[in-house]
Amino acid sequence: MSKKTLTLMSKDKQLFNIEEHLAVQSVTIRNMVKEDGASSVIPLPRVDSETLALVIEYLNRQQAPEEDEDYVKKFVDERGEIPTLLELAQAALDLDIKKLMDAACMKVADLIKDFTLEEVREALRIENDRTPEEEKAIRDEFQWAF
Amino acid sequence: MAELRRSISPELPPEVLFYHILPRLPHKSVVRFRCVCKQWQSFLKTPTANGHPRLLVISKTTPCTFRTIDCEALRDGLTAARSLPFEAEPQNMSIVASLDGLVCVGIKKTRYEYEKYSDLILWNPSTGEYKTLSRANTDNDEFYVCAGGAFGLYYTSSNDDYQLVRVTYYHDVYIYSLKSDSWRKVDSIQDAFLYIPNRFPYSWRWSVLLNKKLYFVNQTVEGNLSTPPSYSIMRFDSKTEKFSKTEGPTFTNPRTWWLNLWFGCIHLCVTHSNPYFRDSCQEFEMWRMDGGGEWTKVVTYYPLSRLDRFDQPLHVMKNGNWLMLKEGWFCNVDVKTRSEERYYSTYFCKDILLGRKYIETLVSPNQYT
Repeated sequence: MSKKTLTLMSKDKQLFNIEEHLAVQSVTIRNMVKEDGASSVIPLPRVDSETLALVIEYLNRQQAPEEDEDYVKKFVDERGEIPTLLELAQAALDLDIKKLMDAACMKVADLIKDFTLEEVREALRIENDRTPEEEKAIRDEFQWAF
Repeated sequence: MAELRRSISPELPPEVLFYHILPRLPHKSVVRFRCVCKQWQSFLKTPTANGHPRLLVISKTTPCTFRTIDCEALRDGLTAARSLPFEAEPQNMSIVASLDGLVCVGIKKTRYEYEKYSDLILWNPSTGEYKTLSRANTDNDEFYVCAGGAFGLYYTSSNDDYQLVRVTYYHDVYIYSLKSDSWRKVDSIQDAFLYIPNRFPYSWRWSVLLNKKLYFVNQTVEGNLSTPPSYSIMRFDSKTEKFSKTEGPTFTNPRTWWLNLWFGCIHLCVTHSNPYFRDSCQEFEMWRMDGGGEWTKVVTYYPLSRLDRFDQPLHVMKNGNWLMLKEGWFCNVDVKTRSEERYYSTYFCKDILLGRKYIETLVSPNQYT
């Protein structure tokens, strides 16, 4: 019996093939397959092709269950850039792949936890909407955290 | 090149950021990151509510669900039910400590006389995150005995750690560190306990944290009418990790004591028994402890009907009213005018109230893993 293949389409209309039994690790895809018997192409309008390629790589992993935990950690460790991890976490959230999402979010939290305010703003491209005086007031109140 | 393209893309996934990444940050980072921008501050400070203390009500459904109620706004009623993230029988779980949005839940497997906790769980009901505490170094038998002991949660800013102090039935003291997920036994504090009258079984009541010190009420269980219960206030200094006894006011016909924090001061509430109706409370008193350790009576409250069965005040509201339980009903009691409004009955709905307050925060029990 040949294995059934699904086709996923990214935001930028690129197509990716993946075997169904691997794709259904995503709860979102599993529900779609259950509902309408897997239509020919599953569109993922919020996931770009680079991120989807990563997700597919992850779903295709061939790991013994006892090594899986380490694999997921290593997988996100090797993609240590925050923007990539954020996209990956968002995709894993949309697709409901819990392990991948947990690992990606944990990694981002780990990366930013010791950042200074300026570094956080830069990494996440957030504009500082406070005056220096307002910021100083908060800093003074919670001095021990800085 | 890919990185460059991404770094100029303006989209940040807010859902992931706010609900899945920020909750995993250590407390210290959370506090610091309030400064990042106004949106972060309002989110990190009051993620879901107003900072009011809330109470948890567990329903005996399958799977088990819980709802919460704002102690300052009973009128708003209970929130929608959410499922309990861990397995527990509602009648076999209790909150043993609470701090900064984290509650420590003791889970029992059986309801035998000498019951024991099978697990201790640190849970943030707002985010749903939880952690089962390690059992390492707790291998003596009495560590998990429910009766007669106490728990208290506190935070040490010097090493950014949440810690849980455990006093066992035999007055051994253990301290748990969330950072290292392990227990250690500290010097037994027999000296401070020598003065506890322990002719009768005694019970510890909820701890209250003030200025890095945990206060507990330790009282004997009523023997009989000729020997009214007695009590002492025990203070645990989180810096020195030592217990000491502090003096409280004396009462002529006391029954039960418990502590509350109100406007930054320790308040001691006491009920007096009515010699003719043992089960009904004759009057309630509330005393305030001032900085120097002196006690001042703040208010006395007589319920309208002497037959009313009030349980302890669960919360003292900002306006001075008390949140009390009367035969399973949540009541907002104006102690000055002696009027009360009833809101919701736990008995009627067969729900179980976990009588301990918590506030809503994003503090994660898994922040160090």
